[in-house]
Amino acid sequence: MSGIVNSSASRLLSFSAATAAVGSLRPATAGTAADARAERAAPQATKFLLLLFQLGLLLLVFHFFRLEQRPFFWLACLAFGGFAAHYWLPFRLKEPFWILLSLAGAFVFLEPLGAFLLLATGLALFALLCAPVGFGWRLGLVVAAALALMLLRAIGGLPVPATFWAVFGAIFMFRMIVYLYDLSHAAGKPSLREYLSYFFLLPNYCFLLFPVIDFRTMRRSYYEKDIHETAQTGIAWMVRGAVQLILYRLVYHFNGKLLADQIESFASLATLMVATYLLYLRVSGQFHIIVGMLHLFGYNLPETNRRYLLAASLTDFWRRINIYWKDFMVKVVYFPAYFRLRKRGEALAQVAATAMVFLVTWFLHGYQQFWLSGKFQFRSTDAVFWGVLGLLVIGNVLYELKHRRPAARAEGRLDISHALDVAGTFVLITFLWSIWNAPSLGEWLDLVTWWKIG
Amino acid sequence: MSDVKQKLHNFILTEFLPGESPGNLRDDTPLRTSGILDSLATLRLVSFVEEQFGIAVEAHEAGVENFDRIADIAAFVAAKQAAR
Repeated sequence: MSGIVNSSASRLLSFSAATAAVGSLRPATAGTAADARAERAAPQATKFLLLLFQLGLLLLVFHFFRLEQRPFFWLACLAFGGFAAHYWLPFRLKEPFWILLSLAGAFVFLEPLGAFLLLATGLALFALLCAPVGFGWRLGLVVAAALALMLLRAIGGLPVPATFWAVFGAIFMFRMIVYLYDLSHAAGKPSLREYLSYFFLLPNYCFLLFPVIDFRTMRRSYYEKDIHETAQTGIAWMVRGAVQLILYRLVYHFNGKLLADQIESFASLATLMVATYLLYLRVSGQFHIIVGMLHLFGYNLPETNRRYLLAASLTDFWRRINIYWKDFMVKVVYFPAYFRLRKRGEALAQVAATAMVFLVTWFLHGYQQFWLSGKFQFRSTDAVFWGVLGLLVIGNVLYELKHRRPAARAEGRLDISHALDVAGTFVLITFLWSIWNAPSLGEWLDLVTWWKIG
Repeated sequence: MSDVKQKLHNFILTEFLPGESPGNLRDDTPLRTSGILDSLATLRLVSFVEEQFGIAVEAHEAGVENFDRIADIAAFVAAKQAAR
């Protein structure tokens, strides 16, 4: 191994080792692929006990630190207990068990009527997807149903439990877009088993902000590695998530003490801005725990957030924070726009596709707000945040088109230039984040010109 | 290693992993899901595949199912060439 190792290469090494026993599923037939997955699911008592011991410790941490709200602890109990049973089941029963556990979870965490409506609406949408007509018609039916549901959500007043709409939105609002995109390029009818295992995910009832898991990645990742490795990675991510949630609590406490009307110096303003940015620890912590839980059931999904505080440029930041969102945008917006436009020139295609990604991201955040709260919110601060971030990333993309990224960096050596890039990116994102989180542009301006008011 | 795989291997090492030992880049090493290739890098790889192997790649074909591993890319190239 060369002495020069960049961060990508470091990941390469660990992944090479991790995938040593895994062949590609693609060339194999369905039968042999299932056999290979069944082999990777083979139980080993000692390894199982070690995993269970770690999960027990995690449960104690969740309990003693009272992480998140009370249902989260019961979610963890159900998921970890479910893992203990799921682990010993024959391979063919594993996914049906996971689906049943997740469906039962709806009745544990939601009111019975809400859970029933959730399942009924989900199954009705699946029936539309299976209608004996062309894909265009099926797509039209699902879009019409979604618009009708949005109208009902907006009108309100229906005898529907309050939690139903938010949970329904959290489950379907983005993943249905991914699913429809994949369905449009797939042969054959959709599978009910795959549909249920993709949409009705146990942690989704407790976490309304949920990573936009990619359908094909989820299917492909199912037992693609030995279950002990997959589960161990999941536990590591849940530990990381728990640490981030504990840190979030400290930041939240600190942020509360630094109320905007107490800003009296540049130092207190800067501290408030940093604390506001660090509130994202809650989202990244939750995402690590969610995906970590899915790992326990054989889904070897990729990381959701990767050391975003160490991003060295805005493009790098976009690649590291909420990676699932970035991948979602790349799949349904960036690639389709780029491939359509690339005959008109590389730079134009990349700039237009990137601009579309940020425009759609801005719109979809308002759309998400609608499902979670019942009202579309397109605030001026959102427009400024996504607009400025989009313009800066476009500038970064153009720069990278002309100047190839420095590929290798000596590990362990002090790299002043890289350190300055990281510090500069952190400052810029902290600044933009403070705009995004302000109630309005006027209030943000009052904040940064505290001396005029004070 | 087949010719297609060898060319992909050389391109990825040169363009995205300079300094890395060739033995560490395997046919089943995840490229997209591990973060080695981002969207811009994937587009460069797509352009290389199109030019080198004389195939056209559609937007929905540039996803992880075809462009995550050298083995997958080679299988995809073979399927596209066979379909011509």
